[in-house]
Amino acid sequence: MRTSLNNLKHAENFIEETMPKPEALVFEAKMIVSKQLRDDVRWQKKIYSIVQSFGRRILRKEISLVHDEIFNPEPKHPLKERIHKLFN
Amino acid sequence: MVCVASAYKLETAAARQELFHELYESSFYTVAKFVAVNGGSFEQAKDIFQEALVVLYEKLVDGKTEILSPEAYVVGVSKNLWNRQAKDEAKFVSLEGDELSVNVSPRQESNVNETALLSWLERAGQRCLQLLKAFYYDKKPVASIGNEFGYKSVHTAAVAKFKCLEKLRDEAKSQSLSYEDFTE
Repeated sequence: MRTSLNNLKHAENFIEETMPKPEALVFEAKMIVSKQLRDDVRWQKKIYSIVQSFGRRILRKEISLVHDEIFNPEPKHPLKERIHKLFN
Repeated sequence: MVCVASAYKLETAAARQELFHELYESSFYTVAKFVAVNGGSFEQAKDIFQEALVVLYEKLVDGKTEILSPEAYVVGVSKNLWNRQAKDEAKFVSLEGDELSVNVSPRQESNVNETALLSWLERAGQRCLQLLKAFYYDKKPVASIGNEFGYKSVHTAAVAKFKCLEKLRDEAKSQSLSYEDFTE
């Protein structure tokens, strides 16, 4: 892997706390002196967070499809009837 | 360690939907009854149940927590979500009563920015987002990601993951310089 990709892998180990303690201390020291590294790590974390939001969005769509299958089918699903009785 | 996600065969959308369907059939009635008895609506029952399914899925693919009964887990999480929501609403009502204006918290603000950035990245790097989702959200095994995305080896798939991470990070960074909305 090229250097920039190895750096990402290294930062990932640091973020996920899978890096050995002495190595993590060296990494932290490098972040203190390098604004570039600090920025890269901050944005890498942001991408992880965005990927999680993206994953949740897709999963919610899949769950909604299941919900619609049960609550908007023809003919009517028996569970739909039982649930709606609770709220009427 | 046994890969719990594999045990539940959650790697495809069809398999996930099969599990969600089973859980709807087995547990939604219990949750809906709990919400109805506590004065909630059908929509509220639906929302908390779906949120509980998301929590369950993330726990299953993470594999760190042993879940003996997904049904009991989903019902338990739903009830906790309901109780938490009821507490939050009580707080909101008391604030409203005092006619206080509620400012957007820094966390909410950050979410708004993240949503804007996600929408942009969805247009600019859909394949990369899908690949990273497979690795980081669905936590699929590298070999299965290789098959799904057409990589010949585990090493190539791992390299592709970091290339995508670099691409999205750099695009997000450069966009943040153009659009203040994306920065915190």
